[in-house]
Amino acid sequence: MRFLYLSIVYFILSSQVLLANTTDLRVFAASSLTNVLEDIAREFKSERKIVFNFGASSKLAHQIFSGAPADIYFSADNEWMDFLVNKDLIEKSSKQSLLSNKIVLIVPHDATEKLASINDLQKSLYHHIALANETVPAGKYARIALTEMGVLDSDFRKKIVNAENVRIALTWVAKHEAAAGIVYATDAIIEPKVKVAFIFPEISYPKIVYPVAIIKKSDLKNEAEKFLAFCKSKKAKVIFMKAGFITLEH
Amino acid sequence: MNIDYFSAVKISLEVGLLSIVIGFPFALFFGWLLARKNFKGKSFLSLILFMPLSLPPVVTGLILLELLGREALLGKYFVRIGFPLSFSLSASVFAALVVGFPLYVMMIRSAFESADVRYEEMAQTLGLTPLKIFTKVSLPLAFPGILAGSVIAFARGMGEFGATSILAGNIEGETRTISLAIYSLFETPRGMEQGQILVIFSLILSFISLICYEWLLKWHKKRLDISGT
Repeated sequence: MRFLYLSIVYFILSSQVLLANTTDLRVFAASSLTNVLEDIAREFKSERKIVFNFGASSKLAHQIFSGAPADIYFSADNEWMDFLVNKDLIEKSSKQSLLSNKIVLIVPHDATEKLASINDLQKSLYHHIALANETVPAGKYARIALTEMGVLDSDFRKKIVNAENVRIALTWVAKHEAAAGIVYATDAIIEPKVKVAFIFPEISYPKIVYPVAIIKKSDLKNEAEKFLAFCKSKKAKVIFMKAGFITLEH
Repeated sequence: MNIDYFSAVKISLEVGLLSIVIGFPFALFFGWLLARKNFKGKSFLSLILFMPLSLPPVVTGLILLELLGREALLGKYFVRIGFPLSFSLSASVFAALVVGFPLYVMMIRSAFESADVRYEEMAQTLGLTPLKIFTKVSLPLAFPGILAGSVIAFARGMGEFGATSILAGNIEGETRTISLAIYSLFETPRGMEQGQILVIFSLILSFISLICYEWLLKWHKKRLDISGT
């Protein structure tokens, strides 16, 4: 008899794991959107629960490509959105660019040296400069901007330390591991231990866009459309702007 | 994206080897201590030693950064003697060592435990000093098992990713190991096609490690069978 009870418990528990809950709206979003999308979901009135999967846009794209149950994909750059579009996994009509961002140079909040120009970064005072990996959108934009500003020579390259994602680069600067770093403006806002020392001119790097789209295989397209519509509402725009994002008009 | 396969493999092997060589005396000491001695605070010690096994490696990395970073508790002394730890090969080795250490100690502990304690007691009645007993009796008996533990710690340390990427970064030619190189390629579209060589290489390395491990364990058993019963 005890065996029977145990079997039932085992069955119930394992079925919880194996059967993914398909009634929730699943949003796969780039890690730089972590805090802001959660705030927005809290405001979104719906009988469905919204579940987020945050991570590098690349990782998410691979997951969706391998059949992960996603309804919406929020990417941090067009390259990975195109990757899924080319695999025919995206509902093309739903694809739109909702947000934009800026990249900034940050230093620890208690840094005393004032950065007069970006060329000062070549001083030995800036022993390490934290960037996101060159494969991550933030890292790519940072390298383009540095090249455009004419500071990315071989000596400078030696000072670069690559972080797996932009939030780790942020941590390194906050903890003085790196004397400076390049992150999104939205990251600089959430970390009190860093301050913005330089804002890269917009012409020095390609425009940062966050494309979003509904996944073709989604069973909840109506609900997904409602959520995207809500992301464009005035209420949502205020939340995005407070977090430092630039909302794109349509 | 261009990845230097050769340097990634070289750095991985360096990190794995250095971590087990540097960790060896410590793992040997703690493994023996846990196997042969009873003392107050033993469970607390093993709790601390095995902590990295159950912690997410990212947390281990953050704790190490908190301890060994440029301006951290211990790290600032390293900087003072002109040896900043973060973002260097030493950081990778350290992270690999810490994450692989629990397995290392566990394996060495069970190697000592599987040897019959009566040999040591016998040696004691024959008047051998504790050091002699250790070097002439305990160590030879447990030796293959100890090597097997080193192989497992090597394999675990070489593949370390979470703690390493936080403490050592991902610097081409310096701290970019096979795992970090594969991860970087994974983040580029079509990158995995380039990464296949590295994936195959990791499979080979892990295969070799496990064969060595199995072989050493067999040797260990055989040796105890001959000396025992």
